[in-house]
Amino acid sequence: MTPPGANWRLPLCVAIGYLGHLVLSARLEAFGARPHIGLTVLAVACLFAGPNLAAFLGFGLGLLESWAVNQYVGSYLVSRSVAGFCVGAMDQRIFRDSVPMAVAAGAVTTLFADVLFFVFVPQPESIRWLTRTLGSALYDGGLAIPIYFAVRRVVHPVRPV
Amino acid sequence: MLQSQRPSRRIRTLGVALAVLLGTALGVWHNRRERQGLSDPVTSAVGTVTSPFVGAMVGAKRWVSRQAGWLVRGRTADEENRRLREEVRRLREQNAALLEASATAERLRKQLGFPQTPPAPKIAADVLAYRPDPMFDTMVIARGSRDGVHVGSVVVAPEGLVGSVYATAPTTANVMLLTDTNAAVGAMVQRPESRATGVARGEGDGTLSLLYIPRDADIKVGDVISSSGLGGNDGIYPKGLRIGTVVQVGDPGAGAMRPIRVKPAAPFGRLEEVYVLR
Repeated sequence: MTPPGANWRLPLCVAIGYLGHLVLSARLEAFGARPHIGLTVLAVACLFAGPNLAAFLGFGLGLLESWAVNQYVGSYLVSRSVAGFCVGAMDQRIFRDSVPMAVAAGAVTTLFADVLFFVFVPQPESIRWLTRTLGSALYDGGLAIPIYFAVRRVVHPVRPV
Repeated sequence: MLQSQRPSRRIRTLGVALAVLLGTALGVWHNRRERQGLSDPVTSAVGTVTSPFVGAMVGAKRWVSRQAGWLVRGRTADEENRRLREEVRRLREQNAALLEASATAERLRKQLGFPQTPPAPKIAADVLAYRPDPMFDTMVIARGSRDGVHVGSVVVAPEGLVGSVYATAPTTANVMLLTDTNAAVGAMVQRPESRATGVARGEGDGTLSLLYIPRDADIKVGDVISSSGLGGNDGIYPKGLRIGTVVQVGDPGAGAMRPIRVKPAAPFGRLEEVYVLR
């Protein structure tokens, strides 16, 4: 099911996505909502991966986030691994390689990963946290469209006929 | 793919089970190392490998924004130039007056026998990432333990106080911004007639609250707040660093303190370089 070469292309996509998140996401803030580019790339990449590779991708993203925030390391690692796995383990009867699936995965993965993180690390300002998370999830749903086409291009490069 | 050809459930969940186990173990290990005051080698190694790439991307982004900014601002350059010349002239005058006042204060301190405190050495650091997780007000800077940065090092910008270092790797450090809900700094009103002292605490929404200021203290909107050198997070902040400006003074009601809001002086979202006090 996993396309050939995906074992190294998808981790590369997730790593570049997270670096892009570090550099750009603060500038993309709109109406108090900020995109989580790393999580969106993870969600889209996991559409092209099996459950084990998806869990590995989530773990990798968790490691990068752990370095950048340098607290709650276990919570990042576990929440991102489980979120990646859930996308990767979606029933294969669903045709995953499509724009609507990418949009749904982008929004739901952010929401799921952040809710899981909240369970591990409860935040004092729950309402503010919820507003920010919902804003990020909506943003990520929209952002998943260009990311889907970019990741698809990396996973299925166009070959001359 | 047919149902019979799919990998068994055990194989399908093997990856996530391993990830959860390893993640939990690494999390526990990280916390234990942190309690001992040591850095975690795994996140440090990730930082050492990742930071050059982040630095290159940050450099590329700045180059692009400078080029784009030049194109956009080309027409208004003359006007901006005039305004900046005027500001330089005004700041030169102010600087001369301040140098004179500083020399007088220094002379009087010496005469009265106050201890002399040399200014702390500073190192410049590039900002690699601002608020990598929007839930926490933190940033990553491109200086680490190799450069003498340690947990508790104070980070400042020309405009004012930024925060303090809470974790280090060899080439990077994590800074907790003043606006984070876990940050607190001993603060005082800079105006000579007031000098009321309290604690400035981050609110997580980009502002600070000034706590423990008595209800009858002389404080008003526009007052400049600077660090008092007392209390806060282990009293690590030296005295006299600019924190921000009072933007709201509320009604104390029946309480003992007035709700006071402070807008931080440092432009956190626009910072490209900061200085670490060693």
